[in-house]
Amino acid sequence: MTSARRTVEVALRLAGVGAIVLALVLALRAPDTSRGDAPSTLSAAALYDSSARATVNELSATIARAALDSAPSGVHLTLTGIPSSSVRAALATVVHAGLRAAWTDSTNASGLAIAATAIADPFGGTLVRARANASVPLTIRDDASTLDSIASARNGVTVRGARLSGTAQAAVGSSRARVTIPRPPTLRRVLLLARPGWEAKFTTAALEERGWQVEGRLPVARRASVTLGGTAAASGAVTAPLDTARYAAAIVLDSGLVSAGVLSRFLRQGGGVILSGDALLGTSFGALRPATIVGVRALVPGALLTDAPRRGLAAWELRAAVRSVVLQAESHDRHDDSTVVAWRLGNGRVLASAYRDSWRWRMEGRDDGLDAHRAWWSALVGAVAFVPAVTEREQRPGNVVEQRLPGDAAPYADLRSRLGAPVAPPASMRSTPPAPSRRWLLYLVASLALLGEWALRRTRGAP
Amino acid sequence: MNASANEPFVFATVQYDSGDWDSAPMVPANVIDAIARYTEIPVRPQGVTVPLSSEVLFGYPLVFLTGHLPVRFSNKEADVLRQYLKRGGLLFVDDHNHDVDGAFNKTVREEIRRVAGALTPLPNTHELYRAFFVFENGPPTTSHEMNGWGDNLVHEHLDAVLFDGRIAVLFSNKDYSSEWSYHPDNKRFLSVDNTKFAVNLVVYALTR
Repeated sequence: MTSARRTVEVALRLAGVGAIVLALVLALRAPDTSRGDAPSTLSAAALYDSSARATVNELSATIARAALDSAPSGVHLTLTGIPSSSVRAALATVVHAGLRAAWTDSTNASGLAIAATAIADPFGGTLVRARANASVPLTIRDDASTLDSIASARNGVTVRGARLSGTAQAAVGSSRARVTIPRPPTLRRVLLLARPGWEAKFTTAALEERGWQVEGRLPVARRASVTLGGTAAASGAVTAPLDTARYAAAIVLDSGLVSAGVLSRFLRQGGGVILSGDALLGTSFGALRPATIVGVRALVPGALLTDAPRRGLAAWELRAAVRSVVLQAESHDRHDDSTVVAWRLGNGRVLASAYRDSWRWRMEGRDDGLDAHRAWWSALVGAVAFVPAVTEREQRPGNVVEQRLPGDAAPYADLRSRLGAPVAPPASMRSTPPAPSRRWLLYLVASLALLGEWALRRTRGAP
Repeated sequence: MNASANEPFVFATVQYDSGDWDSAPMVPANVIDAIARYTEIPVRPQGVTVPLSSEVLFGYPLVFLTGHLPVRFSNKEADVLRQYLKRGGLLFVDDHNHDVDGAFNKTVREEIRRVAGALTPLPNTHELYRAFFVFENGPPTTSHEMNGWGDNLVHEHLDAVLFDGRIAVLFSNKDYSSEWSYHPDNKRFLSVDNTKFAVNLVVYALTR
């Protein structure tokens, strides 16, 4: 009996010691996750921020602490928002210092970008274009208030703001793209070259009422012209150079009033030219025209009083040239009639408008036709107008530092350029839990075996 | 129908319900003759008559209104004229009586005030007087002013209502309706063509 107890005691002791030894061996053979090539995982919660300075300090301290504690060869960031430009710069610094950094994209803001363009219009205004992943809720705002909140479309969204201030922002969750709203451009005069008529009169009126300064030369008789604005009285075709120092755009409503050479020189300087009505006839502007006349478009009687008033205007049927862009078209009999076509020529732009009597839109259209006619002509001029370049210092005096922060307009692209493409999360961070360790079983076996051996020994009176 | 790049200018006379709107039937032909004679502006050989109560008026951005008798615009006429002027039309009114104390002058001024605002003197330096021919002293004097008819006054200036710096209503007490009321063929008997000012009016309307 006693020998049987002793046999059991020995067996239990061996089992306990064996379990401890096995646990020790397993522990020694297990990889060291705190050193070597395994990247440390940092909390990303502090990386996207509104107070860049505090977060940069926190980030630096976190990385320094991680380096001192475990000397990692790399870090892995899981970002639920795009870090601010300061934080992105700090991350780039860390990477350049030799620390390998990878990141996992949980931002839902890939492709987030924003652009703001000053509209060439005396009324001012800014065109804000933003994009992010399609179907992601996108909020666009300036420093004063929210402008719009909309699901991002495939080609982005566009918001026109009459008076925006400070910066324009596009936000997806906590990620933000920022751009400084440009100052209104300096707009120069518009030169009108036309024969006297209602189209010339009301084109001038529309632009002047919109705020453009219009000069013009309208031949009335063989040796007499009416001049508008400040140009010197003259007759015959314009042969003196047009200069972008004075004019933003020239509108030509009739042929024979200016030579193609004069317009070409103006275009090389960056000026804009609008060829409309009978200026599209003939061959004098052949090389300049972005579209050619192929017929007379049938107008729709009564359309001036509908939602599509321009269908009621006399117009040419245009064929757009190969490199041109159709800016406006009207659907008709299951096909689109190109009515406003433009292209770049030299440093400038040429626009062809098919309409021959747009003045009827204002005079014979609906009550809103007056404003619509003004805005339409202003938009045509704004589409081609020469706008002098604005230097950065002119853009926002006293706030140049903000303007110089890189990547704010496209922070996602900036992040990728600094840290590379996002990667899948590391195994330790994946949602599937790691296989449970069985070492506790060894400790349990060792404890129970040693406890049993001790109990058997004590109950038989042994020490 | 109207002046555009290819379409000729059409001289339009306003027909209103009250008064005698057709008191100067020879004026259109004479004005048309002057335009064709002095300018290269294409012009339709015949004028048209346009009802003031119809939106057809909007197709004629320059219209001529004259008469001797009291003028009272109906509500429809006033509404159409108000819209017409707001959109950029120009109304030229001539007092066929040449009489500041006459019924036409008094009533039509009241109607214009109701529709467009008060008439004010147009400076004789206005660009209207240099739009084609140069009239250093403002509107040319008519023979009807000189011969003592009507109010026996030589009116020094025209009156106008300006919208955004442009003439919306031009008002004359000088009786151009009589001055220009003859057959154009008879211009050859004049030492100075007295319809030249009409050319200025049309050129101004077509360019400003």
